[in-house]
Amino acid sequence: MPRKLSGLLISDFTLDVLKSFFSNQMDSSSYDVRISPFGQKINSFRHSPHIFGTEPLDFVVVWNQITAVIPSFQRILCFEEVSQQELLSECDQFISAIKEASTFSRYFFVVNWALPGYFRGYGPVDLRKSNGWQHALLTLNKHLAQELAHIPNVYLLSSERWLQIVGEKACDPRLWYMSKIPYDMGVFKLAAEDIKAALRACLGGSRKLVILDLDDTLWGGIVGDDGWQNLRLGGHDAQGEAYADFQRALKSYQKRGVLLAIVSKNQENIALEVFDRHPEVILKKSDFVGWRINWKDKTENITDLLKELNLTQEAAVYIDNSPIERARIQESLPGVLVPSWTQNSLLYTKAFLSLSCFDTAFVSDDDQKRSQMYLQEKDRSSLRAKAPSMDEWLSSLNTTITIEPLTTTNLPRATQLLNKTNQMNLTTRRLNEGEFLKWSQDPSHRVWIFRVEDKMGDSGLTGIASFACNGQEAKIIDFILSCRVFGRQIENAMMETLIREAKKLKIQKLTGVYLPTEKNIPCLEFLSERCGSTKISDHTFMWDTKKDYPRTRFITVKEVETFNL
Amino acid sequence: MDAPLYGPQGLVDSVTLVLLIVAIEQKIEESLQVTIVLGDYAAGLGEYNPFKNIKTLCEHIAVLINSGNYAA
Repeated sequence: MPRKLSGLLISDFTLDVLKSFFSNQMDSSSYDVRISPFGQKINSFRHSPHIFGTEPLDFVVVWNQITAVIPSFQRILCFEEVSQQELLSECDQFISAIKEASTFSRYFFVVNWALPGYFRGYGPVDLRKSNGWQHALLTLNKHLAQELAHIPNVYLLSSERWLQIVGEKACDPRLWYMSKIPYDMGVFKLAAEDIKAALRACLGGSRKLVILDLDDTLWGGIVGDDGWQNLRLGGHDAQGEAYADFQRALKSYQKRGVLLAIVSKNQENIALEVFDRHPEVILKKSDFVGWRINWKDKTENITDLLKELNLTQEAAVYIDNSPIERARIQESLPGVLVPSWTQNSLLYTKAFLSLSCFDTAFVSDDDQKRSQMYLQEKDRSSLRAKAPSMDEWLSSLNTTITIEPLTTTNLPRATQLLNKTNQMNLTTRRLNEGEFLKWSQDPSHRVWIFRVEDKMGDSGLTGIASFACNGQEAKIIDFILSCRVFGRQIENAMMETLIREAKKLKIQKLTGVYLPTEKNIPCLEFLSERCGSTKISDHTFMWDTKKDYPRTRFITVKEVETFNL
Repeated sequence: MDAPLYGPQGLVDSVTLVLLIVAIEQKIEESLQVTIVLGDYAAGLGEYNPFKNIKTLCEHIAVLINSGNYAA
């Protein structure tokens, strides 16, 4: 059973309701959450550092009311003049306290400030005057966002969104006067959902792939019966506009790195005609990394598609308007997220944009190219099918691996890979940027970062390997390769690198201890069968650096000189 | 209906009681367009405890609504 995530909630108001949402038995993760003593402001934590306890914390949530931490905002609420400098200086004190406190926890969430909807301030000139309530609030929130963006393990959460969704009831003064609770239960429920989604994102649990049905999901109507000309898609029609908007939303997510695929019971050539010929279609065939359009069982099709994409069920979301199909997939593929889906197509975009499963803790250039990379992978596979042998295929790819040290430049993407990779991952350890950097700076630790490129395209930063030295022995700590590239002997080249580097350090014995998870069997298979190791026990493997191991052919290795972090 | 709600052996703690009070007040405002004040009774519970169980709470709400002791 995975260990509980330990959290601390810090606030100047009653947070029992928020805490109660962390004890839901239905959650996939479990939490051990405590609340700081009542009335706690983060600014004053230096006087009471004991609030963080002695055990390491996985996450901290700081939710302070604006008047509690920015005293001059209270004067603004009394329509007194306060200089911008004074406001920002108090905000800087708050930020400085956050910076210092952020070292006590792996992930640190700060809730930004919001005012109840009934706070009118100056009315129409409130946003014009620098001392207008909303104007001052916007200034402070912007400053907070800009400054906290520089601290890698600190994430700012938006309370305005929670208040907006809950509406008029969001801030009921009765709760405040009777219990010092400033918000309705609905606000805390949304806050807890967002915090859990953020933690999932930090720990590599974001979903990567949306698998879509077609008829009455991507367009209105049944293409096989109605023909592509008569589908409801775009045009001056509420339904048609809504379907086009849903496709636009999917396309926008594809641009940020979410992959799209199709699994539909249809005749393939007829269904695909829509993407080629319909004048108002937004998504094109090239936007999808794969499809299974046939009359087979959808479970079989999804399983097959995931295998082709080297993805696990836990990476996928399945969207279908049919409750029967959804129930079938939910039951047969429990790892796939199957959101309950509205029957009203006018609400499809809202339902999709509300999903928190795609929340991400980091956005890299590679994310934006991900769809393109999967399409390149498809080209590689078709080349593989045509090649007479595996060797000829590998040789034809002209693969180059660039090995570089961990640097402040590649640290964010490397940390993202460390936290997201599940399958080819020896130990599945999860670290934030600060922890990874600190670990790599230990004189007995070595880290190598791998970039992969071939004639089909650049796969980007896709591998990490590290070991910890102890005299004449070294233990492999990380052996991580993105699922997009394994199976092309990149993993062999990585292992060769470790053995070569160990030799350089006069290390005689290199060991790797495989820590099993539900998803990293591919790593065990590689260690057991394809890398020349000596098996010491079920999960322990050894390489004698005096021995010669077979060299990887077909791959050119480039090394970037070590430079200081 | 007779299960203890708030007080000795009660099912809810003080924070939950406040959430319940406000939720009931809001619901009555929405449904009947009248504002009743249940919260006053939560502050100093003496011998009369309308939050003793669901039954006493319902009776208390009915009395408040029927007495016209509310802000319309």
